[in-house]
Amino acid sequence: MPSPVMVNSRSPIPVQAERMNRIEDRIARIDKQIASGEKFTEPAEDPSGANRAAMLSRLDSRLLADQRSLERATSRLSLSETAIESANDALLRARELTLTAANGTISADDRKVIAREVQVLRAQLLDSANARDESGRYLFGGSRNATPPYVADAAGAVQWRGFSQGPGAEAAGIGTGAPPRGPELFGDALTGTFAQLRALEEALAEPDAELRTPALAAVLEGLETGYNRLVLGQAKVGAGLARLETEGNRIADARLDTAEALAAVTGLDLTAAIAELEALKLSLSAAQGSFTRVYDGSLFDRLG
Amino acid sequence: MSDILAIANSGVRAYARALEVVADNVANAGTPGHVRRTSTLSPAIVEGGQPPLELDPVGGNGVRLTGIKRAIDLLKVDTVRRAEGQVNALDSLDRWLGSVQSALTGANALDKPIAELFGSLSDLANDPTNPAVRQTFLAKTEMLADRFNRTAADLERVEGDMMLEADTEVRTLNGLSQGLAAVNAQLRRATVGSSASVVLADERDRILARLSTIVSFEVRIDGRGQASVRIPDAGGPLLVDGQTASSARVVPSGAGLTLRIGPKGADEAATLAGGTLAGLSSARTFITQARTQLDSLADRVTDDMNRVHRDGVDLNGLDGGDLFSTLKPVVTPARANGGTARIGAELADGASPGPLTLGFDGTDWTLARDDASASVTGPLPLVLDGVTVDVSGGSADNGDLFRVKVGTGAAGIGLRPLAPADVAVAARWLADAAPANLGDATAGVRLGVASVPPAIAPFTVSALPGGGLQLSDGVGTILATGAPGDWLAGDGFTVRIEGTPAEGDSFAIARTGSFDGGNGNAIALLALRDTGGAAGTLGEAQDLIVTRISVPLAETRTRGDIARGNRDTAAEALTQASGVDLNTEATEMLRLQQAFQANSRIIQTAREIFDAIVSATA
Repeated sequence: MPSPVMVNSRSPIPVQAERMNRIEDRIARIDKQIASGEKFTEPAEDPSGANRAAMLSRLDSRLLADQRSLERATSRLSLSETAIESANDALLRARELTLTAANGTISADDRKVIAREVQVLRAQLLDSANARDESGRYLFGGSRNATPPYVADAAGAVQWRGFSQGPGAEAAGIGTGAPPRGPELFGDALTGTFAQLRALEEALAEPDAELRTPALAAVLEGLETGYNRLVLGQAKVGAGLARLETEGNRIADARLDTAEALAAVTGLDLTAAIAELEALKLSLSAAQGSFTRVYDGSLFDRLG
Repeated sequence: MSDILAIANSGVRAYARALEVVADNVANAGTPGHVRRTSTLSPAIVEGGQPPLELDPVGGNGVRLTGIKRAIDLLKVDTVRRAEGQVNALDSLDRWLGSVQSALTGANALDKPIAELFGSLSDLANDPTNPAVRQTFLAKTEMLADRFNRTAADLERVEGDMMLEADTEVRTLNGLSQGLAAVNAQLRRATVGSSASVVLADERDRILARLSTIVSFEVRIDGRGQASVRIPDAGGPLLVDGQTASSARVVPSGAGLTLRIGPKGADEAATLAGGTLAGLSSARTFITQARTQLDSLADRVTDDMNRVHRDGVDLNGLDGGDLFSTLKPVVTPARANGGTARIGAELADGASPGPLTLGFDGTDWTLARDDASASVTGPLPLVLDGVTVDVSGGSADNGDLFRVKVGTGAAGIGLRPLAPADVAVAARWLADAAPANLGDATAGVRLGVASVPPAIAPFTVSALPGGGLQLSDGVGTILATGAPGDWLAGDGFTVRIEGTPAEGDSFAIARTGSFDGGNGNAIALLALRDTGGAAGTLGEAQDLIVTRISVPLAETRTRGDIARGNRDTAAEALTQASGVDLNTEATEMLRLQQAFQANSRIIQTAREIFDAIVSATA
């Protein structure tokens, strides 16, 4: 606590000292600012600036979280894209095989070979439909993504066991960042792609050409629909990826802007600070100089 | 002839005394509180009239020192005292607001943990089932609670320290007022104008100057120089009157402090208008305000997060519980404790005990409710009402007491003992359009009232011919009917179909099961980031707490600079009038010295004349 001011011949001296102290305080503060490169070290130095800085850093941490969200959703969509491509390949091969089988000259043994390949293709398709993301969750199972969404039952029928929608980039405010639900890619249990492959196997096993030909034609049509569905799904995933990328660019730009704004609010104008420091040092030495001259001795010194 | 000698003698004596005053001034040039003295000389009058044989008395009877005066300007002194009071009020407010600001910012700042909590919630929404992400979320939640606890504890400590300073200041105030009463008593006995009374007046002003740093007051000085002091102005209660000093004490009142003067029971309240105590009083209002706001922010975080968290479903498929607990035990050792024991306390999940006291009788500990309705005795640890107390270090003395209070608000917020799987990330109910649907309608679902008896899952909404909708349960019981856009009430949920469903379309409604990877509730929790209450969003509310301290602090500093400037100007003006100026004293010394020498010379001359007469007559 400062001592109370009392009447005293030397009280100009404490007052002068206090004035010089104040200049020194300002010098110390500028020194601190220059060392830290920041305009204020505590909110009271610039309350509104501190408030704005708090808002900006909050915005930045939010943008950072959004960015992570987008990255995660992007990786999930990219994995979906790969899975859909692999499913596409399987379907194209199945169509080829169906066309081959529809050729009347093909033998029963050849059909057996084809049927075996169709089984392999079905397994490949099942793998694609049960593709997983990097944390091991099934991509096309919606929110029920802990267990494989497509499982063949005892009769060989494959049904979707997922539900609703899986996680996408909702945290970043984007509703279209989730992988498509299984039925959007593979259709339903009755008419979907798995049902078509099963129908193909059955048709291949059919000895009667009269029955086999229309069955194969129906399968061909069904496979065509399935293929179109996959292409549509792929386009949706592509559109989702593009949307995420656009959003990602926006966030990157916004983070840059935020960093710039933050620098403008909290950053120190070094030139101005150093100029002020020099000016203060000058006035301090002037104050010290004039003090020593003014209070240098009295008449008593001159009395001989 | 002897007259010349007598006159010159009086001159020598008077100027010697006057030179003493100068010497005293010069000697005390550096003494705080020393007011420049001036000596008053006046012609001496011989008592008893003229000698009867002198017909034509010429000249006087010499000179005498009639008094020593202090070169004081009471108005200027008063101005300095008031300015000093202002400076001290602003200085103490500055110091304590600075402490509050540090308690709210820096390592204690809440903005970072709040932002990180929402950041980890965002990660949780991206990766709802990942145990590591869930664990991170819990850690961030605990960090936020911990930061609240620490800030609350810091603010409480700041308030305690501030009250301690107020007590110390009042003790100093009482000491000064007693000192002033004693000086008054001596002034009453001293002769006015004597050097003793001048020294006492200096002492009186010194005490008043120190008093002005603590409180602002109105002082009256009577003819003998005795001061009577009222706080804060002529209408306030008397602190010192003549030789009696009333005792003062400071008590918390409302948000600030009040000074009470006089014996307990017959005391009067004095307003604090200046001085350290006024600064402390207004600092206390800011501390109280910050603590209240911090508590309400903590309550808001607890209420909002718990409410939303309860709506969700955890990884085991169970309804979410509370995320935060709201009570934490706080142990305070009694001041009179002789031992060094440090006691820690834990609160069982869900317990809400009243105040407890823990005592040690030399062999056993007793933990008792304050209303004495229950107690347990034995060695530590002891458990009562869900509170477990244990010693964490040191040893206790016989008779030591510890108060166990339950902290609420920012002091009470804590993370409940949750496992990563207990975080309710998924929404409780989900709706899904059947894969074979032909229409483009979508289903939205939210929480509703559970029905009694419970309906049997699974639930389905089907589009009927004619555009109507029907919600039925697993055994075909129709629970509700309606049109697209209506909320249909089911068992624990309500569902709404939006868009145009084709006839025969159906929508399944299912409760989220264990290990499902939905993120609906994480998104709902994340939405709290943007939910604004009366004080804005959580981040804005926390900013507001800081701004409500930093703005007045900045203002206090500006006002402090101005007040110091005013004080310095007033002090300089006072010094001009009352201070010792060495140049003036040197001049005065020369003048007095010359007068002294002249008088000595006259004595010498008188002697020479006397000698001349004696030798002439010899």
